Amino acid sequence: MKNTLLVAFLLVLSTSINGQLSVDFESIFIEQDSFLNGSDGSGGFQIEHVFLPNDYNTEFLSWSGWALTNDTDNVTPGFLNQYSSSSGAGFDNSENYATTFVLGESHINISTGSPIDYKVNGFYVNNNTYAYLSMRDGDAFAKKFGGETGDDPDYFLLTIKGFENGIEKSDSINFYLADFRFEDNSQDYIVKDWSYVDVSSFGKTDSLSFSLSSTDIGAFGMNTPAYFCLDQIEFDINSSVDPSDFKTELLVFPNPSHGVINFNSPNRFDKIIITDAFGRFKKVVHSINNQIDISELISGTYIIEFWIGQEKVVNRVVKL
Amino acid sequence: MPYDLLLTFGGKDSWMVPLESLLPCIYTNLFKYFLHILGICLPITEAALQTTNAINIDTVFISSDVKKNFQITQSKNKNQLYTTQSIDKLISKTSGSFIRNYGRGSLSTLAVKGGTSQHTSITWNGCPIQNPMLGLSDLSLIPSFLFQNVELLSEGSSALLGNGALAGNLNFVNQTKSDSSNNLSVQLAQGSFGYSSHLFQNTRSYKNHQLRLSYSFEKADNDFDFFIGPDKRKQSNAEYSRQNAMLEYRIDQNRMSRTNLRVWYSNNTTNIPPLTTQSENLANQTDQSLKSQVEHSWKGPSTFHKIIATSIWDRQRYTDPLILLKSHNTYHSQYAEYTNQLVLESNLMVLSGLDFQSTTAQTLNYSNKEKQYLYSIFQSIKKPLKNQIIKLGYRLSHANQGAIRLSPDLFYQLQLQSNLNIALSLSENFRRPTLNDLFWNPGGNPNLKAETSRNYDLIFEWTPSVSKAHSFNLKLNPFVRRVNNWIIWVPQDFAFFAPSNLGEVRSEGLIIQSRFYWNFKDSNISIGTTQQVVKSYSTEDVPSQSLLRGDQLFYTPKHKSIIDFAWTYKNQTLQLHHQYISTRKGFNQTVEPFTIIDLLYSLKTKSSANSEFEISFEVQNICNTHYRIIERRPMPGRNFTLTIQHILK
Repeated sequence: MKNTLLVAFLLVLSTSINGQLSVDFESIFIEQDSFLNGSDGSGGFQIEHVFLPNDYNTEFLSWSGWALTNDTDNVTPGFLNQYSSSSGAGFDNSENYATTFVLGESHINISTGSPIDYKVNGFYVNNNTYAYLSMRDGDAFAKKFGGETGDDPDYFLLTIKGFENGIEKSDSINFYLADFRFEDNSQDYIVKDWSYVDVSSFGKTDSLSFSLSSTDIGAFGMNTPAYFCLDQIEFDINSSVDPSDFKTELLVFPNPSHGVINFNSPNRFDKIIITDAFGRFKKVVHSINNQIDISELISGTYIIEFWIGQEKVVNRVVKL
Repeated sequence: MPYDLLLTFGGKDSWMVPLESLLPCIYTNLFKYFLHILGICLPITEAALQTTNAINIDTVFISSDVKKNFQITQSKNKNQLYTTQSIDKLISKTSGSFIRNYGRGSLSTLAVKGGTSQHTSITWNGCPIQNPMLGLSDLSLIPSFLFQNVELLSEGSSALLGNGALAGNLNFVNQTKSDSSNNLSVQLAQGSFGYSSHLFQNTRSYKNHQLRLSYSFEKADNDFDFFIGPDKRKQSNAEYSRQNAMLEYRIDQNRMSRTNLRVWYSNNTTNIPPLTTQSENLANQTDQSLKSQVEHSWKGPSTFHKIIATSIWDRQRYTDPLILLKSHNTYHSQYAEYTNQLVLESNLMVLSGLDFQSTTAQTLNYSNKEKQYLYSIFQSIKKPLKNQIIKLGYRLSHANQGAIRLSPDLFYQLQLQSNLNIALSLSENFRRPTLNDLFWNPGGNPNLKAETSRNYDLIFEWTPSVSKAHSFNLKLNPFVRRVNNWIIWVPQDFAFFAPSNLGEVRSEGLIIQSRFYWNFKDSNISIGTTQQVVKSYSTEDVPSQSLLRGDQLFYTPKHKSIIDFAWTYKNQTLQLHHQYISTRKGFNQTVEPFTIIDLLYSLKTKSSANSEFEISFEVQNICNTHYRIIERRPMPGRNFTLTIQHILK
């Protein structure tokens, strides 16, 4: 009887996590026409099954990665207006959406520590107002697209890569946030409304990376403001693994930590991988007595992946 | 009245970066702009022009007063330039220099012999006046009319010049006449694109007192046409106005003692036009400054003493209503110097002195009101021999950031023949990091080292005797400069730039100048040429700037060529000035070479012994060349200026 109840419970659980989900950012409270840029030092935003990393520099009050916003100003050009979408709202006129300043790459992490398969089907993207107006009108740093004559074959390209267990998918997906390469200049465009990007071809994914490139490059790198906006992430959840088979209920402590952190687990992990909040690899560690030494890492938020076979448990720790 | 530009031998938008406050992640682009303004390095050349009531370019050495004796005079070429011209325009026509001009009426900075704009110190009667936050001075804001001499030293005389003069020094000199002359000068000018200027100067002498009041007002709509391919466009939001007033008072206590008091007020408004890759720009900037100076000098039997003190209050306000940005930067600076010249037996001269500089600056991007001090002592000895001149000098400097620095210099001149001189100049100098380098938030690096330089100049000058009526002068100046700990802003891991010290930057080049004079009964002709070749490069890769080892630095032309012609017949003068600037590497694209030709005609008349009129007509860019000095900043085509001047003595 006891076993029958357990199987029934697992069946219900499994059923409850299979299916399609979409994540928007409406559950987050943001004051009107405002933003959350990580200044609370949280290292990112966990919205349901999605984590959006953020890196905030308290010394210089600067940020990169993701910010959540409901800014509606899609008229004012310049860097003082860096949080709004070019449509002045989220997808389908929703209030909240995400914007990112891409420093090299921006990531979103789908896994939440549970051994569940995720397949991201797609999401909606839009230009950030700062980038949109810069491409349309030019500014003191960046050219207006098309150049002096309007004939320059300019583009602003968003490249998306999928990852599973840290392994990059073989294909990447490109989406042009602006494209002026047409022979007929009347076909040139800068994305101003939310557009759906289908990434279902990646299959099972636990993180996505985003990078931006532009034809407007100067001696100091890309001149086009490296921003875009994201909303309504849609994905399938499939519990291919019986959660009861994964016996790891990990408690990591102390957290935050100055150096050595402990974890309670009867398992012997195949590998333990530490990455930063942006998914950038830092180190593989070997645990002795269920302890990990992170004293050599600089202060910040880190992701620790505990692996057994093809399964992992992810924990987030803060190094002081 | 004559004005002299003493071109010396022998021997850093102003524009504050417009940053309000909490602007996460956009610092990257801001600093791109900052670096654009600084200009990472520029080059050189020479010109020499001429004419009428204007500025003489004497290919002479050195500065005014006490220090003057410690720089050796070369030959004299009496060339003249027009007095209404701003300093940047004037200097662009001289050898060894390159003016980075962001468009007519816009930011202009000076680079000498392949150095950066920050490598030339700017002084007013020997006292530093460049903006300590950026280490630059915007020369477009300074009218030549206020000064009697403008001296450009392109050789490092480090013991005399000190901090910042790695590549040279530009000195604006006020001089009052020793006689009791009275003089009233009024000059009116009208030109293309709504240009007009009004200059007024009145000198009054009474017994041992002399008072001079100078006032200049200049404005332009600056709405010139330019071309993008076949399309004609009109410059917008480009109006500017310049207002300067200077009061000079001199009193001779006795024949051995003199005191000068000077007050200089400047109020300038500049609209910032859009780039050619920008639809619209509504930004504008106001630069205001008040400078005051007291100078007292006295003579002993074999000594000469001078004390000079200068105080500067300076403020820039930048407003961009389009992007809702306002920026406000202020600094105060005080400078004091004591100099003593002693003449010993055997013509041995000893110059000794000490100086002190204090600067306080404030902007939203500094965490605090930042202060900087610099103390120096210096000494130089000069010994003229039969056919040789030897000069040795040193300067010891100490700043509140950094150790004690020694800046030595050596000059040796040998007269090989009566018409052939050879001279060697060696010097070491330093440039402190600017306040922005140290304290800008984000990125400022308080641990930056000072840049250090070594300058090697060789000068050959040949002046063969042709005849009394005709003369010829040829001068060759190969030079090498090595700048270590080059300060450069590079991208950091985070979203901003920060300054760091780079290994070594070298500038190697050759300047060849020649001038012919033909003097006839009622006329004379002068033809001058200058060819300048400069290679200026880093000895290591700068990947953050797409700059490889050996690449020519940004906005540094390898070649500059100037040919000038002047014909004077009785009271008329005709001048032709031809200037070629080779290709320059820009931050986004290569800037094409260009050739500009200017023409000037002037006529002087005397209605009485005490009244003199001069009328002049200048055609600039006579070939209507479409050119740019800086990428995305168009320059005007053919344009005209008519000037009338009346002098009452």
